[in-house]
Amino acid sequence: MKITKIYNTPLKYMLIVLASILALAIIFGAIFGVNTSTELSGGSQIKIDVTDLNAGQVLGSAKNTLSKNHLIVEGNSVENNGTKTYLVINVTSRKIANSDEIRTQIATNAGIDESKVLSFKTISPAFKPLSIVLFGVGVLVAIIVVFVVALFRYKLNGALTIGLANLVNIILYLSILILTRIWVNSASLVSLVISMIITNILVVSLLENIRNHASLKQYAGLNEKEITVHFAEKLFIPSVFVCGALCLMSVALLFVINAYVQLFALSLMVASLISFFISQLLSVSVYYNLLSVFNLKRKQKSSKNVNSKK
Amino acid sequence: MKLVKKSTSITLTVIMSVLLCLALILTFVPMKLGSLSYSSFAGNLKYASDLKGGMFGEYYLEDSTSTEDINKAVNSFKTILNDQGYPNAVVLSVGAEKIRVEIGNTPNYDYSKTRSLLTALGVGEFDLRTSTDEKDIFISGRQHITKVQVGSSANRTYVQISFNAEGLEAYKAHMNSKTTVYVYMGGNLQTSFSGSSVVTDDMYLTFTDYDSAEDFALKVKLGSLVPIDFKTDETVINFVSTPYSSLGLTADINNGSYHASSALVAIYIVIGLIMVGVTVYAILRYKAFGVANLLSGLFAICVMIFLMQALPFVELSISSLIAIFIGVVVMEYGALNYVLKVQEEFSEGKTLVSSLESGYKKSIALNVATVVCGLIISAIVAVLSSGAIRVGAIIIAISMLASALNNLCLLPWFVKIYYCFGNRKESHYGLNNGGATNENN
Repeated sequence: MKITKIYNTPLKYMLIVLASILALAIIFGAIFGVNTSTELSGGSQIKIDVTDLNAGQVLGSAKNTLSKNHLIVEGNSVENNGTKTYLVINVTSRKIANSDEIRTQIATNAGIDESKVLSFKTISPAFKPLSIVLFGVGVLVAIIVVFVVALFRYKLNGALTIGLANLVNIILYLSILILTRIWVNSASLVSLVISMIITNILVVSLLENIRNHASLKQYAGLNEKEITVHFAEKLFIPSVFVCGALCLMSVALLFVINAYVQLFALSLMVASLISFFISQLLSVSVYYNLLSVFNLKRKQKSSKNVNSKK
Repeated sequence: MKLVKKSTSITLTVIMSVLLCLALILTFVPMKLGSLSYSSFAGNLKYASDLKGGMFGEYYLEDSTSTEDINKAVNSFKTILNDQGYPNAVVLSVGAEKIRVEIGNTPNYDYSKTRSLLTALGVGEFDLRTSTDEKDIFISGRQHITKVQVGSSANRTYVQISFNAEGLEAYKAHMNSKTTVYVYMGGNLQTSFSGSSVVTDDMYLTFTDYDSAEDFALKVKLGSLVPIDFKTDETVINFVSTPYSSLGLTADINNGSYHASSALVAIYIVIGLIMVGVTVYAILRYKAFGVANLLSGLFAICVMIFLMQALPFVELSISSLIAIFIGVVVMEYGALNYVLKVQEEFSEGKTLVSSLESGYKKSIALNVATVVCGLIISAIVAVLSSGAIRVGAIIIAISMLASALNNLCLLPWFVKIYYCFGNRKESHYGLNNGGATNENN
């Protein structure tokens, strides 16, 4: 399949798909809420005395028990308490209705005394709400600054393209997080920043190429779409390299047996796929459509001027 | 492209080889010379507790501590630990019972410093008394102290404590040559000294060495900023493994030995494999460009690692390692753009030297634009965020600078030296058939 074919996807179809994903995410989010990790919404912690015990076996048994009680384990560690060794398990639920019953089940399934399983304690979020707000403000400020800089360098078409790319990037990423129930935590927010940077780099590369070369004689006979697609094709392989490398890293992390790391890997994969889609498909389509409209208006204006002079 | 003589190329090659070897040794090789030990730049990188484990502290709260005060204490801990270079520190309140802190170890596993910091966190309020009786407190850290700093003058190290108006009045009233001043922290006597006439508005306490002064200053600061008291007898400080690995469960953590997180191992393996794969592919396909990219990339990575270990607020967590990986990928992206531009110029019928020159010039704008774009976003996010997000953004900003160094300076320069060596065959650069590239075969 020639690469050019993928650039023939009409913009309206892409916008319909995006709007559908957004609508689904809003409905889903309204019904089920957003899945946040203990970093943002707190959770519960339980300690098990594993002195002279096989901590791995106890952990496996405890995880099974918690899973059967619909509790999601986010992380576990082993700590030395001086004379004793404790297994510390964090779960994402703040309120646990039948905590004593679960403690008993853990002790029974692990074959240990119930006194070794301490009671659940609520843990506070690691992130202050203000930190999340400031992060959001930072992202928006970054988008505005990039838009303004692009306005000087690539004119209104380029600036609008990159601004739209950034906004769609954020909205699409968050929508997919909501739909796939991937945790919103510091790792997924870092993935969002990575996605934005990759998208911006790839879109800026396209705009820069068009800016520097489109006025050359060899492209004189091409229309807006042909020029844009021509330069997008040149960036196809480098884009595949960048996004592919990130996907490869994500796949590797999926093999780490830990929910936090696996969900981070998924959010990275989502980030790289979104960046590729926006930079290679959406931005290309938006740019040449904007350019067509702009050129059409300019032609109409100049033809009006000619008529008025007559 | 300004060409140089072959002899100059040889000289430059020798110099660059020596510099590269030196950079790699300083970056990756720890050394011990007698009593002096050097842990290398990579060895100096700080890891958060999620990658290599660390230490934890649990500080039990006095009964009936309000939720508001607990939250203030948690926020104070986070701010202090961030200032101390632990942006990824985990600080949580556990029920209304205790505050739990987890931090990574110092790079050379000097547990004494980590333990000292954790001990200082729960030390309790600093106060000065004229006797051992609690009623004779005349300076209370939370009410009277505004600033604490460490300084040195005439080979003496001191801790300078500044007071507010009320504290200054009390300080001047009680400090004279006839009184003995007792220094307390968290209700425990630390030391005592004979008072003297007040000469300055600030109090100066001298120490024999900088470390002791810094430790004391930190305790006074913590005792003044943290609004609650802890049951110091119940404080627990000890080792903790990583949270993201089942391997860590069997670690012998009594002496601080850990199994590194399996996530860390996986990330290192994948990064290594991808980089080796990209390098081998680049050398096979783009020949001289691939070799030049390898050399310049190594330099750029050494610069990246140097900057990361030099900045005190960079602490590597899982997301930081991914940010490093992305930075290196973006650097390779810029290099790929340069090589493709040169190939494009050559395929239009230009000579090799013209292709190298015009390809480089045409790639400058692209590489500068991508670096500036990446820097703007990462810098703004770094300023306005905290914790792992801030560290990730800072690392991406550092990698943008490394990318600029690699793609705008080092890579073209290495290619130029190779050309000036007398290697003028197009096939050495992955360019064949008078303008046709390997891609067209």
